[in-house]
Amino acid sequence: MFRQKAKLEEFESAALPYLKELYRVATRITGDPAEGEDLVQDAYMAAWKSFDKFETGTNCRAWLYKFLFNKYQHHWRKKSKLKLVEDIDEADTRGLAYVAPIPEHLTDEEILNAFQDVPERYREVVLLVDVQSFTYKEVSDILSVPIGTVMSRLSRGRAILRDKLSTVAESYGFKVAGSGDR
Amino acid sequence: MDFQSHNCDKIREYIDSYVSDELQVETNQEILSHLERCSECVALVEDRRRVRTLVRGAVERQPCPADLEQRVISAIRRQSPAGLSPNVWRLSRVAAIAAAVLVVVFASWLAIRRSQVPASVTVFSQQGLALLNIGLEDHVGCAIEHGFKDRQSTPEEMTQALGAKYAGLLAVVQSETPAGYSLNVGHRCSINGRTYVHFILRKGESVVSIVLTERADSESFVQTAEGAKGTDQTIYSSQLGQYEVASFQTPKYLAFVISDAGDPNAVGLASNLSASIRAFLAGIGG
Repeated sequence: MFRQKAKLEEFESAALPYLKELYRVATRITGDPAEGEDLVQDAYMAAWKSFDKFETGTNCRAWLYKFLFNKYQHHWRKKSKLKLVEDIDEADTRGLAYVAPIPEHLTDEEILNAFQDVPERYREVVLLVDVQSFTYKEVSDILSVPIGTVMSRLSRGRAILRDKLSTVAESYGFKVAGSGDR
Repeated sequence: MDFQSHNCDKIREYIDSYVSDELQVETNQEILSHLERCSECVALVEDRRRVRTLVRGAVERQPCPADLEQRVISAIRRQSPAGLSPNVWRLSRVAAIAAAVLVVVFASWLAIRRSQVPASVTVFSQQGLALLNIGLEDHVGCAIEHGFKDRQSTPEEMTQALGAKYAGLLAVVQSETPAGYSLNVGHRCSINGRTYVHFILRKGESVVSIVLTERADSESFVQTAEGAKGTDQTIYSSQLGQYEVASFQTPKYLAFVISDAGDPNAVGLASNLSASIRAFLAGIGG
């Protein structure tokens, strides 16, 4: 019993510091704050159940993320009847004469909406590498995919996001043209 | 790998990994050489970095429900068996008394140590502030902007990244890491042509850097206006923007502690570290 209480406190002090960031990532994966909350709670419960298998001193943060993505992939992702098709269009912006600039001023809402439009499998990698600063190796372990896949999904994810951000300006086009020059 | 020719296509395959610091040192060097000559590729790198900064900022600024932590704790505790057996209560009382005794002993030891703490001086002069900025640049450039504050390395990784000369500092910093903080990063990094030894401590949202860099003879607090009031053991400190920077110097080094203003106390941590860091550096000739 005593050992159990100590183990619980050990888990709480090791794992709770990452709760906020895991919640934010969970919300970005599911696309909804309430679902993000449920997902992160599920992940912590699963992690606690497996805590006796955790080696103290090893990377607790990556370990927790693994539970998050595991829970998501196996219990949460809406099972689609259609088979997921990998993007075969590998053309990037190399050699294009003109690449639209990213607007100077973007609100968080605009950025997050654009980000939510990035297909999930790319969005996950951008979240882990660009937002949470995991290494390729750690991401490969968290998502259980080869490092090469991490790299190509990261490139693609960044390119798609960039593309979506540069189209945000277009929605302002009409306002700018009509503003104050009468 | 030949990046000597203006072969941007080849470079662009590596751009994403370059931006994420995932390249081998040699490849990194090749990319850097190319970037020195190619403004288009530089623009591409900046573009990638901008996207990263935007998405990172937007995600990190999202608020969290205030009671989330409490709910998770309740859920976990509901999972675990409740109550402790009588034997355990007795044991825990003994443990509590033992702990209390230790606290008293430790507190008196600490009080004695504190009386030997070097004086601290607030820096106001341009010269002094410029010296403090040397440490701050690394904290902001490496921990904050480059995202190393979110990395977590094993002791083995840190030992390797610190190199043979500075690996011994790991134990020194570990022993002075304040309660509740964890030492997550230890490495050498380079900003604006200057090499640093850099440690990063984390507790929740709080980020602390401990930074060392070799100093030129002219880079000396002793020669500043504040230096006239100090000895060579003095801790020099100031608030710079949202950061608190505390620093001390040895014959060959400047050492810095940088924290978010007020939490934790950078001057206190610098004081605690100064004796053992000085001793370590003396051992390697500085």
